[in-house]
Amino acid sequence: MAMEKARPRVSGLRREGHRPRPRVPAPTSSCDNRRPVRAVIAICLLTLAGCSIDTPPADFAACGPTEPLPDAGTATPDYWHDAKPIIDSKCASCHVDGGIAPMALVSYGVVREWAGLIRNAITRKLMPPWPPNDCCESYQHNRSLSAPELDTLVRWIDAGTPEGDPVGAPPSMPLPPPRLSRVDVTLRMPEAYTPVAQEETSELRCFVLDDWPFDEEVYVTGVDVRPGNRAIVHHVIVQTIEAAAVPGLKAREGADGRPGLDCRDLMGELHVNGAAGGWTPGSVPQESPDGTLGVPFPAHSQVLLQVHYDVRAGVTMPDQMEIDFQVSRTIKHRLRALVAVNPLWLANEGLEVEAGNPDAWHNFAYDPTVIYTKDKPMFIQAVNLHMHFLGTRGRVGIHRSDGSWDCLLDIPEWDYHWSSWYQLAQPVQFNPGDMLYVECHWDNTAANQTPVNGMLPAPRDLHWATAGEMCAALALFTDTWP
Amino acid sequence: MLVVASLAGGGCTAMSTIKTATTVPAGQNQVIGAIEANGGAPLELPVKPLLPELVVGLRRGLTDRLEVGGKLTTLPLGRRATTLGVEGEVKVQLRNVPWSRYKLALGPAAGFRWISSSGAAMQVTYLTMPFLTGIDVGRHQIVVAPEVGVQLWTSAGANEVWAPMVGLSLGFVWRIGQRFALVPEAAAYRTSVRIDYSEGSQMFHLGIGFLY
Repeated sequence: MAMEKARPRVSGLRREGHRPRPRVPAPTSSCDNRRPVRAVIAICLLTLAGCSIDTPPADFAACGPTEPLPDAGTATPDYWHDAKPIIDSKCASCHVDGGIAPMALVSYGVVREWAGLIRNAITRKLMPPWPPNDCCESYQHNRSLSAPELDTLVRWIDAGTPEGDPVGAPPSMPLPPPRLSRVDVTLRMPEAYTPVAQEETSELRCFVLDDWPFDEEVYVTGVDVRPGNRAIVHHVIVQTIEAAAVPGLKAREGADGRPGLDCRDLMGELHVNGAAGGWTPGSVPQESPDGTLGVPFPAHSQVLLQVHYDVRAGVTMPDQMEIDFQVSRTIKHRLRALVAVNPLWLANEGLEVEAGNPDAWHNFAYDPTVIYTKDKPMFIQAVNLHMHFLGTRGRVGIHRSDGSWDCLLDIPEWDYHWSSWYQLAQPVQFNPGDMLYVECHWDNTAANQTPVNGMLPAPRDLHWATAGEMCAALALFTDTWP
Repeated sequence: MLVVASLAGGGCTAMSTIKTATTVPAGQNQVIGAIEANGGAPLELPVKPLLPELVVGLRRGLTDRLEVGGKLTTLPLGRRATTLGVEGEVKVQLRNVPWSRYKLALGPAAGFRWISSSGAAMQVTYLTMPFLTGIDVGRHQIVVAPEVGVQLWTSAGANEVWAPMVGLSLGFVWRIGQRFALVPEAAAYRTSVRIDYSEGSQMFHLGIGFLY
């Protein structure tokens, strides 16, 4: 039945109202940015082996023809009829009391007060923050402004932000809650932590949270990770670990005189039995709309927080994070996570971002159904791309067994601070024989370095490391069609 | 676990195996076959996954002190895991005194292995130099072989990785009849290749071969 309901996917999804975006030329070779000698060796070997990675065609994430803006007529937009519906749907999920952004844009007075700043931010495409190319795929909670929406807001502000009459205005949309709609469990780091750079500007610290109240298997249908100091948190992975391992890990906490323990010391210990959630900059609370999708939280398990701190800008205050969970004992579909990473990238210099290279890049493709679903279809629900600070652009797609391509995520201008998960508007079926493709680009020139303690470092070769660079596509999927 | 599984069937692969410390007599051929399990993992990982493989090969004695040979290696499990390997080898007898139990030989070998899993592929090109030390036990022989080598790991979309290696193999040539011998063998290697936060990597080989 699941197969019958799957909709066919078409490369380069066309929709009305998409704004044109600059196209990025598709690379023609996966090895054209290597050093010459190495490239010769690699090309010879790859030719011997007869293998290479197919790259997406030029229209992989292309927008359709630009639709002319609808005739706006002579009527001046007003707040209640025109501006408010747009602001509610595209701004207020973050700009709300308790949200991650300042100034709650939920009343006419506040919006009018900030109208100048709003105009500047939306016309420069700084706000709403939405890195994906909308011509690639449709996503839930899409914050981007369509061309007509942008035009309406600009005309409204230029007209002096008239309020209009609320009578006859469209009914207000219910604002998405800044937190989970229901919280069943809250875990908190027992004490505040001030990170110390262990690996250049980074520290990978683990914390055991042993207050998980359920002994039987349950499902996490929503998770909200709230760092105490977002400025220094690079990522958080909420791992589930065997409860039997907790006493041993707890005994090791504080061995260096500080809370938690060095995650790098845990490399050889396979206590981790899953991940229940995570956080990257730009993340908002994730919740299954109707509670039908859930991530298994295994029986007899507790939580191990893996936190990557980045202190390149200094530490002004410690971090003490909280995690809210929404839990269900029954769900319809189990959500699982997969990753697309070339294993060779993790070895020595297998992933190299050369100093001075304005467009270093790597790509990888594989069929995850072999490992994750035993050669049965999977249904991709959400996608994430992971790079660090020097990333410039990246894309994730499916190379179908018939040779066609489907775009899952195309980020033409990478911003590490908005490396969110993107929930697909409709699940995408991935069939055995298809290939999941990831491609990452970096600019490692002097002009693209990030300051460390206020100073711009000189470019240097970077490899796979917490303090270096990474390239990974992650996806959440179900085995069954939801 | 994807990483672990991929490495088990990926860059980590054992080298030049199923050997004796005695060259094949001049003008004679020796057929070899084996069932092996090869794999590797970061040093700190307690689980060491192994990938089974089949080996066939032929050796020929050119002189009393020199033999040449070649091996083919495969694991034909389709998209789950498929390997194809070819290896050329030479063995030079350094010491084979009739009245002594101790034999010495050098067995340099070079090979290439293509490893595919889940539609992705890696290639391993290697050069190895085992120092074969044989101790005759009646008609049988214990073979202890310290070994140095280097592997080059390549994969489309990634930079190549060089893996210098040192290791030790231990085998027993159990002669059954005039020309047939069974050779159980185990080997372990250490390489400086770091994988994520590891300090290095290990590779392992278990196998049972036959010589005819």
